[in-house]
Order: sequence, then C-alpha cells, then structure tokens
Amino acid sequence: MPTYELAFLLKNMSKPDIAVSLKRAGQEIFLRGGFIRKLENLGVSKDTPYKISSHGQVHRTASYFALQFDAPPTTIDDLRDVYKRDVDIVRYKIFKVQEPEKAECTLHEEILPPAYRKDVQELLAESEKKKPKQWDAKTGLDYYPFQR
Amino acid sequence: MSLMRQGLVIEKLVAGLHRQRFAPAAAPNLVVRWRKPISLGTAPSKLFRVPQRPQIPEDELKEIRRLFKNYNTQMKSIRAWFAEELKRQEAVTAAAVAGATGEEAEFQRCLQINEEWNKKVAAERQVRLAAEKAKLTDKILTDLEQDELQKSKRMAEIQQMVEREKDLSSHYITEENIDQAIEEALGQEVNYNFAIDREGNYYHGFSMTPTTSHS
Repeated sequence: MPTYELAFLLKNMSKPDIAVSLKRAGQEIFLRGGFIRKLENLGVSKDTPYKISSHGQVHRTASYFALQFDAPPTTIDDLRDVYKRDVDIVRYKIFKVQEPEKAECTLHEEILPPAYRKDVQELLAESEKKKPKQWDAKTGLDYYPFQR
Repeated sequence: MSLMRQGLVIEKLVAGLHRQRFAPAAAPNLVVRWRKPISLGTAPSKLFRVPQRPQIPEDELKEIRRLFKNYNTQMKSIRAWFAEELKRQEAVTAAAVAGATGEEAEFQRCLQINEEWNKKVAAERQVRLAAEKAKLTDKILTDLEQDELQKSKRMAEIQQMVEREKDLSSHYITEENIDQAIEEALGQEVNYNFAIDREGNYYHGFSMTPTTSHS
C-alpha cells in the first residue's frame, strides 16, 4: 500500500466537534483496509487566505489538518468521493507521498569566494577557449610588423 | 503599311476569331495555320466543281511505269542480299567463338575455383560461429548471475523495508488509538513556517531566539 497525504480544512467548530469530524475522516480509511501514519494539526480556527464557499456556506476561518495514511490505490477515488460529500470538510486534497530526494550538502563549496568555486573556474576556462587568437609579442614589438 | 501587310493582318484577325469560335480549347498563344473545319461542308460555289484528271502523254506514262518497276526490283534484290549476308556472318562468328575460346574448359575451371572458395569460407564460418556461440553462452551465464544478484539485492531491500515497517507499526494510528491521537493532535499545533541556521536551530515567526524543535 502506498502512502498518501490528505491535507484538509475543517469548518470552524468547537474542539469536540472537530474531534468527531476527524474520527469520521479516519474511520473511512480504516473501513477500506488502510491505516494512519501521522495526524498533524496545522492550526485551529485560522484565517483562510480568501473566503471559501463550500456546501452552501461561506467560510473565512477554518482548521487545518494533515493526515498521512496508507490505503490501497483502488480506494483513493472512493475516499475522494466521501470527503467531497462530508459537509464539515471545506477543502481537501489527496497527494501521493514521495520519498525526498537525497542530496549532498555543498554549502561549504558554495560559500567560497567566486574565484575558488569550481563552477566559476569552469566558466572561466570555457571563456578562455572562445577568445580570438591575439598577436604573439615574442618578437619584442608591440605591433604586427608586416603589412596586413 | 502596305496593302499586302494590311491583308495579312486582317487574315490573322479573322483566323483568330474563327479559332475562338471553333476551337476554344486550343492554346491561346499557339499560331496554327487556319483551315476550314470539315463540318462546314463544301462551299456552295465549289459544290458542283469536278476536278480535272491529270493528262499524261502515253509515252511518258510508259516511261514512268518502267522506272517504277525497275526501282522496285532493284530494292527487292538489295534487301534479299543484305538478309543473306547477315545470316552468313552470324553463322561464321558463332562457330568462331565456340571453337577458339573453349567455353566448356573455362566453365570447369571457374567451377573448381568456386568450390575451393566455398570450402575456405565454410571453414572460416565454422570457427566464427563456434566463437560466437561460446560468447553467447558466456553472456547468458553472466546475465543469469547478474539477474540473481539483482533479485537478491531487491529481496534484501524489501526485507529491510518490512523490518522498518515492523518497527514503525507500533506508532500506527488504528481504530483502537485514534481517539488518543486526535486528542494529542488537537493539543499540539505543528508549524512548518520557520527558518533554520547553519547549526540546525529553528526560528519561528519574528523571534530571534532559536529553539531546537520545529514545532
């Protein structure tokens, strides 16, 4: 079962009501053979960025939650349908959780002065290649001695 | 402009008009000598004209016929001579070619050379095919080994994943402990809107005092 993340907004309610709504949302996942990995509260009764209409009501504040769960992929459409019809849920979105890309820290290289940075040195070498050929002054003269 | 030239111009104009009328499909730039179409029939003024037969004197007619017969006879004889000559020449050259070069012997020689070549190439081919077969068997064996290695690697990865999940399973939220999890979540708000410094400290909001946890 892949891991998904359900990010959703509950309408402005008292804490016991919020708990009931959260439990309902969780039960839908358990019903379909899934389990929850993590439940995060990102803020209760916070201002929404804009006024949101949902289920015939206008919301200017909402409670933000993120729920990480595992469920069979075939049930995700079902869950979307259920959450769409839940009147307490103002907005929701289900994402697939991606493993974060592994990256090595290169900060110690990046904060060097430009002349010591490898990429800058490469750029300089490249520009050196493109320079037009100049008069070689090994003759001791500072001008081209023959008629052009 | 002379009278003759004028007449010519008028003739051309008339001809052009007729062309347009009777031959509209003709190319416009093409100048064709004008002829009355046959569909117009004989002109009324020439309807009852009987053309005169040519009057040739009798001795002249005799002479013309003699010349005509002579010509025909001579042409016939020349043609026959050429045909015979050609036949004779063909017979001579064919016999010469067959006799002088000895085609049969040449063919046998070629056949022998061809057989020698075939034998040589067959030997080379056998060696090459054997080498190719050995190479292919080698490749198949190494591929099989690689495949086994990959499979065992993948199995190890899966095993690791299973172990990790087994460890994590004690923290799963299920029907039994969801109430407790909800209570905990409502009690503690998480805020990912923070900054970090190079030592890994967190800064929330506008505060300049670092904290060690991100929530």
